[in-house]
Amino acid sequence: MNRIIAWITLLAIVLIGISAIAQEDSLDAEAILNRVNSIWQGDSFHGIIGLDISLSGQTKSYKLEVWTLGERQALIRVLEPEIDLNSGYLQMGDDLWYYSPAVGSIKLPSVALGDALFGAGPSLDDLSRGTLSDDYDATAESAETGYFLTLIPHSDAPVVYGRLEIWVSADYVIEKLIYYDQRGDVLQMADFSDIIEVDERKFATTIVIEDAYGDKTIERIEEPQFDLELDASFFSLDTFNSWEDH
Amino acid sequence: MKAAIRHLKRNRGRTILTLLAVMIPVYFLVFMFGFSNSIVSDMFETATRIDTGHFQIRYIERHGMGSAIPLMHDSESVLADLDQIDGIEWRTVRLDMPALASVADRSQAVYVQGVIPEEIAPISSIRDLVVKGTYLKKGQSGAVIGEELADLLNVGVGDQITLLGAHPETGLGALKVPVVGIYRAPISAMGRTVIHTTLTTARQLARSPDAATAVIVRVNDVHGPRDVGKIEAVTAQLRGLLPDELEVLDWRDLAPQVSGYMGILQPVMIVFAVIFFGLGALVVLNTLYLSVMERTRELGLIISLGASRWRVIRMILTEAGLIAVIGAVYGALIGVALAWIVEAFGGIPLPGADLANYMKVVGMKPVLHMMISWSQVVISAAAMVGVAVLAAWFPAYRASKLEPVEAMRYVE
Repeated sequence: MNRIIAWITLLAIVLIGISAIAQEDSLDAEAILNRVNSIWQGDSFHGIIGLDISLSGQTKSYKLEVWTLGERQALIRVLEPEIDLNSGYLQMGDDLWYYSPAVGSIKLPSVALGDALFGAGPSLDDLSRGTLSDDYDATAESAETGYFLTLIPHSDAPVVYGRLEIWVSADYVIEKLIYYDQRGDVLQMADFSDIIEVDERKFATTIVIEDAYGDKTIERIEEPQFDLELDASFFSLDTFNSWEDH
Repeated sequence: MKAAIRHLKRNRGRTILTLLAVMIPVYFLVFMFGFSNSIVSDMFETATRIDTGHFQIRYIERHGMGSAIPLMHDSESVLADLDQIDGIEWRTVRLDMPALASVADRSQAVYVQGVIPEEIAPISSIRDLVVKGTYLKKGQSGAVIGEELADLLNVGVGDQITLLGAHPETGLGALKVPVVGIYRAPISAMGRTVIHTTLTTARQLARSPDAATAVIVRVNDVHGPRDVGKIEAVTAQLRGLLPDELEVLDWRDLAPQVSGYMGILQPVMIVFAVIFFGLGALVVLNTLYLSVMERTRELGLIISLGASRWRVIRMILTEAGLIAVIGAVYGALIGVALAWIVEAFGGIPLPGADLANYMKVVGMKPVLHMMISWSQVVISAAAMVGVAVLAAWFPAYRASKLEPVEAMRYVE
């Protein structure tokens, strides 16, 4: 009898242990991602973004003014270089336009959302501050300074990555993001630094994205504003035309 | 020889059957070589005249360029290097870049080729493919687009299209150009995507006044893939002159799908040849074997009268050789004559729009032509003669092994 009680006790200890470990492993990845997104995006955003795009040893610099409203509306105005002044992009849901003062607005196919905006460097998806979409299954674990998330794309998801690994601080600021291809090789790494506090939200203002070949994009976010009043009508083709008056 | 001829005359039915067994494979092969030569030539001419040239000189592609080709800002010095090489028939500078062609809410991903019209016109067949408007003229700002793209964008000659180019080295460029001509592409995908503009216009799109992406070159006396050695001789000379950052890409590198299709044709022809020759050889073997069986007593008598076994073998092989040579010559002549007749009537149009469209997709005309190569005619005929004589070896050997007494007692 004593032996049976001993076995039951041992079994109970093992089960409690497993359950504790499982609880640790099953941190709510979706909740963490939502918090990250909420801090990263806000309901709306406005900021100036400086881009240094280095490709094969040559660096091109851009300065952009960016507005976003939710995840589906974005407006980008090029401030520098001078030759591209007042050109820009408008995203309204899946619809996308490019504007050039010389030729007017051009409707782009929605796949262009994922294309490099200036032939190289980040895409509109990257700049419009969309981060982690519904295309992935996420799992989360505790990490030294916060959380470690692994995102695997759904089999039918229109993404090029095979896996994403994200390090998030305890206060839900992304610290590092690694993109893997379908074979498990690293495609690119993004490091988030120069964290500031804006309206009680902590926010990385420098993002360095480096790919496996050493090409690099440095994104610097200046004067970020969150949750400002932006009218949906601001995200329209008319806004492009108004830029030339300024 | 006399005995062989006498015997061939003696059994005319069997002789004609053997003759046909040799003739038909040769005729079929010559005819099929005619078709395949024409197909290969079509593909080669389409690829090299319209797009690739025999070879191109480009900057070595780097990571992160996507479908864009590195820009070349020193094309003049590349042309100077080319001038030191013998065997160059023609060369020009071109600027290719991916772009978006757009009209109102319609858009299509395209490939803009900025060309020097007066240089490209004598070589590129796009000028001859223009069905509406005209090809580009020197100093003209405009675009020549394919019928498929014109339909997609719903534009005609005189309408304006907007081009938006994004080159990783120079960023975004956008401009409006009028459509000056519409061409009928030999390949549907080309008609949907390839736009010709002047080099000046393409440089505006690339936002670089001296940019090019390639120097396109054609080599003297190259009439098809069989002259690839001439191209290789020129590119070998050139590689020694060019700086390391530049590479020479020949038409096979630039149009791998075309050389892939050509690569498929060769094994297909070999399979056909093996089947035809195999069937021909079986018929020759069968008829000669029957002939030997029928002549068992006669052959036994010949051996008993002192003819050596080698003489018997020679007699049978001479018989086979004679019939094979006559059959192969007739087969080759019929094949050549049929090819000539087909060409005299302008080729064989392919039945059905689907098949014609498929041929367009792989860069071929929807009419089958014949292109006879005399070396292939001779090789086909000689190979069939060889196969027929080889097939005759077994009946000849059997005949040489007959025992005279048993052979003379042989009753059919």
